Amino acid sequence: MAGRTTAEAVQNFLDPLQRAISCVTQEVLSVGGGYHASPASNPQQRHVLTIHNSPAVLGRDRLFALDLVQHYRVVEGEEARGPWKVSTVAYYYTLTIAATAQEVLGYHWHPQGRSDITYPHLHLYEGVGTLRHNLRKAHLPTGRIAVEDILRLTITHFLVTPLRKDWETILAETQDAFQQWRTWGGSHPPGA
Amino acid sequence: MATVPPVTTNGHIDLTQEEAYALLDREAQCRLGMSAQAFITAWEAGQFDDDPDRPDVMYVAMLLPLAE
Repeated sequence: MAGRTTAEAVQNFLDPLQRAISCVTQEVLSVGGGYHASPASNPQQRHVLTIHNSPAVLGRDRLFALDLVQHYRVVEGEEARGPWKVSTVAYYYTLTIAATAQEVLGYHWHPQGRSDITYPHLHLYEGVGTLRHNLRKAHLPTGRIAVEDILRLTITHFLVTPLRKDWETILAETQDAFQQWRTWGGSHPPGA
Repeated sequence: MATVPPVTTNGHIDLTQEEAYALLDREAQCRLGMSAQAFITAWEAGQFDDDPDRPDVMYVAMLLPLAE
């Protein structure tokens, strides 16, 4: 989101988020870090947005609850997106069963954290076991996934033993080639 | 000692530096049973590095910039 001032850019970022979460909760957002610009010399410095009373219990049936945190920076934008814009640099969305606080799933992206996993990812937690009926029909949104993403997952997280030692290089090279030619990334193809 | 301010509007709350730290402290106490300062010390010492993706740990860690 962009604005003529840093404050306007942040406001233009927050307004639609508050409107969006109002569909499922009356909780409000809390923001730490003010409206000042994020110095380019310190990429670690970021603002924080979260739900004030978290997790927020969702909907009229109050079966699920949501933890939400975003990190963002206020940076100078390009002409059509400026002179100031807000850039999201990390997020944490975790859905829990409200009554038990048991985690069900989490969409996370924390490239600056202590975890080795720096790409956006989806966690499935123990709570999915109690929701098997719902999950069979659920279409969990993701970004576009390459074949290489799945092959890497089988090796690094499900302990498939690769047939060649240079598997990391091979997968990086073939995925780079794919990404140079693909026509869309994101979670939805154009027009979908 | 600052406290987390009550919700009074349907917009958003701009936390002061003290309120931001209080929110971090509240969540660290609630989720992990430790103070914000104890969490910061443990996090920076790598005491959660065996499983930094634990959802309660990751959630509090995501709030760490509130202490800056």
